Amino acid sequence: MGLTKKVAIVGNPNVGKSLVFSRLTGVGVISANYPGTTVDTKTGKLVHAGEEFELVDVPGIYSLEALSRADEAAIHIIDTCDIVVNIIDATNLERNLNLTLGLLAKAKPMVVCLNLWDDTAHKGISIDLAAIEEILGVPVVAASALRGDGIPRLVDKLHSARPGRALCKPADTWAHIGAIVEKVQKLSHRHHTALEMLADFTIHPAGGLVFAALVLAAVFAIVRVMGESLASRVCEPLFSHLYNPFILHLCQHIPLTFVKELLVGRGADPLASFGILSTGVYIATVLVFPYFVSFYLLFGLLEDVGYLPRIAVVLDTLFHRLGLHGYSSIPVMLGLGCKVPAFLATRVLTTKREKILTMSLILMSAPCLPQSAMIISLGMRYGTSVVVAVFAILFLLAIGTNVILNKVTKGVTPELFMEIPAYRLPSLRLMARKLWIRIVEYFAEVFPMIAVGVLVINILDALSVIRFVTNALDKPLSLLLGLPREIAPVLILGFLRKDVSIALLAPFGLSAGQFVIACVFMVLYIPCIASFFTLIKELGALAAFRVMAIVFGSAVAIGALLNGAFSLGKMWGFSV
Amino acid sequence: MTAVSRFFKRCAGCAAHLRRKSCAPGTLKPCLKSVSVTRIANGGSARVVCVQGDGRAAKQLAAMGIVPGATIVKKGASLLRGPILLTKGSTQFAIGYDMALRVLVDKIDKQ
Repeated sequence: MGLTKKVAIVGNPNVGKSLVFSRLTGVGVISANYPGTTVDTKTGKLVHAGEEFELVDVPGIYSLEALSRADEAAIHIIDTCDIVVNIIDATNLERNLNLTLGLLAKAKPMVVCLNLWDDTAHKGISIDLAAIEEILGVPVVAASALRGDGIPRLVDKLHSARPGRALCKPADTWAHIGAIVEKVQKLSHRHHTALEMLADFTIHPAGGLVFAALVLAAVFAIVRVMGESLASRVCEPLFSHLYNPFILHLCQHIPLTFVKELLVGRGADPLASFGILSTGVYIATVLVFPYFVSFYLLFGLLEDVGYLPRIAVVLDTLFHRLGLHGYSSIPVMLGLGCKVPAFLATRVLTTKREKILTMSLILMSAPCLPQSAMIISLGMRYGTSVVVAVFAILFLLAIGTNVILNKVTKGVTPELFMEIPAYRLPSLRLMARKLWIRIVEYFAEVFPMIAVGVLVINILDALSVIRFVTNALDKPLSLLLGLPREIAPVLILGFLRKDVSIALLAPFGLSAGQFVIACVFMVLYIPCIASFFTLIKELGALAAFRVMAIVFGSAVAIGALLNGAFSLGKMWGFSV
Repeated sequence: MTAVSRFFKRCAGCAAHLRRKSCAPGTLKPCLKSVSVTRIANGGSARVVCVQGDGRAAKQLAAMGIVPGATIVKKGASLLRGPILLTKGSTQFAIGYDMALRVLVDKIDKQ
């Protein structure tokens, strides 16, 4: 044939579309157990029996009615594709059939895949495959994407995809679904499993709050302990005993001093030498990477088990006061790792107001993981209270700003509407693969950025731009924020990589008070270059600049306020 | 009223609140017994009579099968007028309190 057929993988949120997609194409995608993991479409190729298929992983939708930007994108893909593969959660047949009947009415060639088939047995559900195939009039395949069962059969059926037809009038859909389910599905009674009892507890009004607090505290404690021991037992020794001597030896023979200094910097201290291959690699691999791995390991576990939507429900009451609903807590939690996926995750939010409020919360409530790692490792020199102060100030400032934003911006607070998936035992293989995808993305993004950052600073230094900026920022920095003027170039670098900029505070010998001000200011004043462009892409330039102006304003205000408070404190004889 | 209590105050689904909004066309006729799903006891079953308003909330609920005539179970409610947990069939979901106020139901007595 030679013609590539476009296949859209469509289904309700959280039925495993991304897993099926990745099984079919071998393209690595991040999957998780909560609705709305996929907000962007991914494509992959599949060649089978002489035919070429282009598969598209479509964000999940409940019906063919567009209620958000992600919905619109999904419906557009369905309208333009050649074959629809409708993934159904076999444990939730009734709810899933609503979309299926809508898709059938589109009269596109279609295949239905009953995913999570392995779960039906222990949920006491039995479905008559032949009967459902006859009713729907299109091929139906049972599969378990998690284990890979049934995927070859699904591929075979792509060739025999048949156009569906409308089975009933839209108004009668639910009555018709009821009749279908009655005919094809049998339920047998069974007792609550331990996972379901845990599920009830973690969403209990009081128990859920306690559990959420425990989980968050445990995550931070484990990330710290794991990160620290990884850094000091594995990464640091590898760097200083293997990598550093090797790279110094290699660069010894470079005749041009400028190039050599650019690569390995001046001096032996990896943090102060400021070369791409010394400081750059040290920051990325020893200071940040251990915390990165620990955080995403735990976060991936929470994602796959299905805990995040429950946190969203528990936090809904608080988020409501901020003009948001609980779902926004998922992007905010993602933002604890990196702001870029967090901004992308706001696509499932429906109104622009909601997106703006969530994004300002993402930007302000907590630093991203590399920054947090740097704040913790540098801040611990001053004591735990200093680190706690930085995070507490950021958190309170974020809440305060959002309460005000919610008051002054027009619009209504949307209502929470979220499916709560059943807890699932995570697959270790899948978790490892997800972590691997994130690690590859981290290095693919982090190294070029650091290299460019170090290069730019060195060039600016050579052109004496830095001296000019330092002079220009001298007065504002010392008067408003009480920081030394030498910090100015670090602020410029912060735009490129904020974690690096915080690491570079080390040589300035700041007092505890100055350190708190510098950290709070540098976390807030401007997003890093990657999140800067994501923000513009997601919100449009005008709204993005408005959000950044608000955040920058709060940064200057809180910096000046803290500086004033510390100066007063000093006058009254407190040591800060 | 203190600032704190004002911060947490929201309408509890008073009779006036219910009467202000009309049911979408094609719904069952609410009888005197019909109440907001927020008033159903935790663990209780109910039959949906109407979903008030015809905005996006009604569409979202319809996509999940919360349509007149459907049987749902209220699993729980959160503190301070937080989300209401419902199950329909084997699907569990949470909806905001204000959205739940607009779902009028008849209580189904346990046999």
